Amino acid sequence: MESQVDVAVIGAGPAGVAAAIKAKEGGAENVTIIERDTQPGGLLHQCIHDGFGLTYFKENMTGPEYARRFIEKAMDLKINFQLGTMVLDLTAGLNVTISNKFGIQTLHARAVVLAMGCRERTRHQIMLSGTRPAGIFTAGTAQRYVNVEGYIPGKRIVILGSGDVGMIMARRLTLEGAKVEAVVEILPYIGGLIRNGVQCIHDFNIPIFLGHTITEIWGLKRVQGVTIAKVDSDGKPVLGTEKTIECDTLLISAGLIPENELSLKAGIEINPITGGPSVNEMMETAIPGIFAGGNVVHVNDLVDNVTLEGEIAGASAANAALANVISANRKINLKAGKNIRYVVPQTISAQKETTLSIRVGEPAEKVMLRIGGILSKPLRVVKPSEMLRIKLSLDQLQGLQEGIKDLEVSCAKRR
Amino acid sequence: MKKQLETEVLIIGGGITGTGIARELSKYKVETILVEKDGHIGSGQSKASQGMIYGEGLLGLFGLIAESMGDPNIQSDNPESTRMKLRKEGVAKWPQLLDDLNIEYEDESVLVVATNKNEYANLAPFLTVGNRVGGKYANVRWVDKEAVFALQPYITKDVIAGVYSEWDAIKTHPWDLTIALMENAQQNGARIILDAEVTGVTKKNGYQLVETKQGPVKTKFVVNAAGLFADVVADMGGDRDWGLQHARNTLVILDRRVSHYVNCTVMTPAGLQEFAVITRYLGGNILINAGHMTEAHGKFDTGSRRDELLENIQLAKRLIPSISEKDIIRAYSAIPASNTRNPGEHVIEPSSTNPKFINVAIRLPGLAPSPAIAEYVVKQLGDAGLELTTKSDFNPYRKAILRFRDLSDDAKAKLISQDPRYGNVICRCETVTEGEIVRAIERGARTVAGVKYMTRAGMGRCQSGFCGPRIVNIIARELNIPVTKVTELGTDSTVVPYKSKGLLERKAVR
Repeated sequence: MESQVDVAVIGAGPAGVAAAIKAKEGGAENVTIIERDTQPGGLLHQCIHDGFGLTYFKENMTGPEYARRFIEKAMDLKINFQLGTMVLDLTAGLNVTISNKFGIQTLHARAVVLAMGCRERTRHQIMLSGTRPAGIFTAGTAQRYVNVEGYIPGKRIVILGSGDVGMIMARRLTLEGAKVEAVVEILPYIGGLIRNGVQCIHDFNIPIFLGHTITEIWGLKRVQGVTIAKVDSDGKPVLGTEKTIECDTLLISAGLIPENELSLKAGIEINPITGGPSVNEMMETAIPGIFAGGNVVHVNDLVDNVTLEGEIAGASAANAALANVISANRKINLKAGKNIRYVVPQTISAQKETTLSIRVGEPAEKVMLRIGGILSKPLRVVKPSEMLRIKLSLDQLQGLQEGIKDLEVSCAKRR
Repeated sequence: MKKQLETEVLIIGGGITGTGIARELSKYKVETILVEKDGHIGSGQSKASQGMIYGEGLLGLFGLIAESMGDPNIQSDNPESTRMKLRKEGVAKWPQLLDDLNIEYEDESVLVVATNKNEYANLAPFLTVGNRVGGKYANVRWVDKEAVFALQPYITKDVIAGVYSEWDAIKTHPWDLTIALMENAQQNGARIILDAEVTGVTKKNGYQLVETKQGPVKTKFVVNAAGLFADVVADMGGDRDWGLQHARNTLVILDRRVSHYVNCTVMTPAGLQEFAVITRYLGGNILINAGHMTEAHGKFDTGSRRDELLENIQLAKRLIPSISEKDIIRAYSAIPASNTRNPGEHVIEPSSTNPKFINVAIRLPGLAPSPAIAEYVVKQLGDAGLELTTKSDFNPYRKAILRFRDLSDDAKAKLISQDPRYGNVICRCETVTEGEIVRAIERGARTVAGVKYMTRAGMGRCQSGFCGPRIVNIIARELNIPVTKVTELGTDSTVVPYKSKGLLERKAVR
């Protein structure tokens, strides 16, 4: 079976639904969202804690509440949801092959939005030593078990990594009657948002071991314990500092990886720093007509920002589908300078107002954020766990020299 | 109370050796039960194997040189030794067996490369393999630097030269072999009991009583194919004058997205302390077996080690510089056993004090000789008094579970129209559908690992982060058991032991 669509959105998480709404509002008629789960909303369903919507709606909401606002709007707009549907293939020619219980179908799209989100790093990806018993979960999988399926993975928990999901699960499992024996973080500071460190760890008296890692997992059938050790400045365990903690469950909260297997199938190159496709300010990838937004591009820390990126991708996809292509005859590369890990988008045309997402490399205080010669902004404190969002106005961008190729973003100590 | 079962032959251990013997015995009018200590078969060293069925080619020579480095007393290259004879016979039997049992396989080429003077000096014996063995191996040839690049575009610029064998081995998924052999044995009447660790054997008048964690089994004959635990089980049945010793190293599996890094097995020449063997597994994952063998700390030392893992990647990078630890999706350790009496030989013999108790403690490689070992063991059972009458209705054929991913779009659509569960993709990394998972459970999978080895669900890059909860739900539904009773690996390995609020209720009661 084959059919034509204006915009095909892959993934019905926050980025995908926001993209579909903007695509429809932008004039694209047939907008289809393809989602492998049986309900839209993505991982927001399992995020029953609050803290969502603070910037987008200026309200404090839970994940499902936040998702619902968008899903209802998409339903009102008669956006076509293909649920329980897997994308088997995506081509650079914008053909999307899908599979569901009704069979196999190829959608010929005029524009595609990638919104597949991200997945969690596993214990193998972080090269953790030890056996492979039951009781080792990524924090997000444990979150699904607890909040969606209604099951508790164990009684005595150790969590490796202080990413947001890990800290939120520390609190969640404590509330469920489990004992969180330790949160172990290799860095000398917590990995997630400050507010989660306070509300999830500190307020519940959960032991946190900063500058520590797990050196061994014990247990053949089910986890029986872990050995932790201090690490030196290179992140290597220090001999003699080992300590064994009995537990029946180990959660891994060691970062997220954008999910780009389909992007690769379409021939899109993946940026080694962000783990996602490089995009311009229209959120367009290197393949014309394929746009991307949210965690598939780079891992965000706030869903509100995921929504905003999805919206840009969706609006741009509608323009592409309707052949309203805005000519981007200039291409300026954004370069990551001092203490900058990455900047998204990677290229801009400087012909429209653009918000940059900037991830710093290391925590620092009293810094000056500089973007080429057009913006200098003093900042009291910057952290890798908290993304900087900097808006460049058209006025500022018009101050750029003619013919400029690169624009450096840096974040150096103030003198 | 578990009721006592009765059989003529009880096989202990569901690895490649035990399942091979079960299938061979099922050709005869003999009652057979196989007991396996874990919740799925092929759970030990068979699963940890590289899946290569090889004989006297480059891989075979590599193994022999590596063995003799570990122990200079090993005379294992003697073609008259039982081990070498069984391997040769086994390799000859596999092609037919793979077709009969509908097992996925590929012919594998092997390239041995030198990247420095030491390795170059060690290439020579590999070149002589073809002349010495002949037959399929006659194609073994010298390849210069340019030819190596033509064969392997991702290889290091440091390469000097190599030796190439166009046909060196048969590549399989090792767990497919154990599953297929057991399924075919069951089609022909054999029974299997999982989670049935053997705890004791008592000799009675005319029979033996084998105690297992699933109840006692009364049997005339016992075959001990307990792999790493063959020594422990042998002690239950009688005396022995051999022990087991275990070596170990950490193996690494890479994401399928880098499957283009090699297109055949690429390895360094053995004869040096460190080695590296890089293979593209069936299905596209790269498997790296590299490092140096060390002594294992006992039978349970199967965990991966970060230091070994880093060494493994480092050595692999020397051959294929693009390899990166970022692409690791799984690591594990193989701990192959050898016997202390004669490390270069298998132990396949009746217990010295119990002629109806056959010990089968084999030495690497285990996959290749399996069909020949099975025949050899069945003959020993005959010699010990087992009556062997062939079945006229033996069915040598077995069909694998249809793999959705490998079908054409038309075939996929047809399958979905027959059973919509094939339209529900559960494991997104490996594209495994609910239909396949239900088939696996119908065919005997009881655990998450059982489903994984029968379908590949959970073997991909996310390592079941996404599909894990969904598979647990399907197992619970199909077996009609609570989710809190579903296990990862069998007894004592529950995935999610408590219901939500379950821990709070317990506390409230207290």
